[in-house]
Amino acid sequence: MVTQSVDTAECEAGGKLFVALKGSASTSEEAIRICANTLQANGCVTEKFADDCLNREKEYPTGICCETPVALPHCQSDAIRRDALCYLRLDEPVSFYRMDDPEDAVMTRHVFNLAIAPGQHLEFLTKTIRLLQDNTVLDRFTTMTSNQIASYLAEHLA
Amino acid sequence: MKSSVKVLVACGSGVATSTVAQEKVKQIAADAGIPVQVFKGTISEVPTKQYDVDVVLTTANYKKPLDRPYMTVFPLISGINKDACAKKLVDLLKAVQAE
Repeated sequence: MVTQSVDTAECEAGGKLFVALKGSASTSEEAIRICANTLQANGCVTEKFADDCLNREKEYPTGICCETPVALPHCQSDAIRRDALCYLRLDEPVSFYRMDDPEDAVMTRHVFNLAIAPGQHLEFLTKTIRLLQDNTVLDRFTTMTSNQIASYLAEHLA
Repeated sequence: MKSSVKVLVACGSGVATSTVAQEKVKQIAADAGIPVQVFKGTISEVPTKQYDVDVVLTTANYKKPLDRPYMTVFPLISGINKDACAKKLVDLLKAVQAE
């Protein structure tokens, strides 16, 4: 069963909700469900969102081999009520299949679950991808509190 | 010689990485002085939409045969080898433009 993290923080900026939490999962599916449940608890998505992300992940996985590997599970879904980003920092890495090579996998502790309705969102997405590529920031995320991370995301991505 | 090169940028959902890659492709083409028209789509649309464009670019893995010139622009998302990817893209766009 998916466990809910105790250390969860939210920060709102630019019409989007930024959520950060710590958690543990043994599979990518568990990690995605933790994020999706948290976004649901915050009213950003409906229950269907988790399955929509998981279905997309099976066909088009989102593990990214950056300097520090990350995963960017997301989907195009009518289950999105409000644009949001949920960052889950895992205590132990889980395996995500790779976006550029679905037969290979990466181990990551950094899961960024995106809930955005179709549209351009260009600035937000560009900043998010830039953040994923920045291993110095990701390394800092491992020691920051969820509150600090949520504020950081809101300040730098919105 | 084409007046502009039509480019399809596709990713798994057509929401996130293709949006970012589309913008980076526009920038790379502009820097190289190659006029492009960039369209966005999903991987599942590639087999049909390829016929509306001159070049197909994807951020996710694509291994099926295509009738249009194709390359991956995944390095523009991961940041690893992005300069080499940009150079290869410019060469591809120039070759297609000259056709």
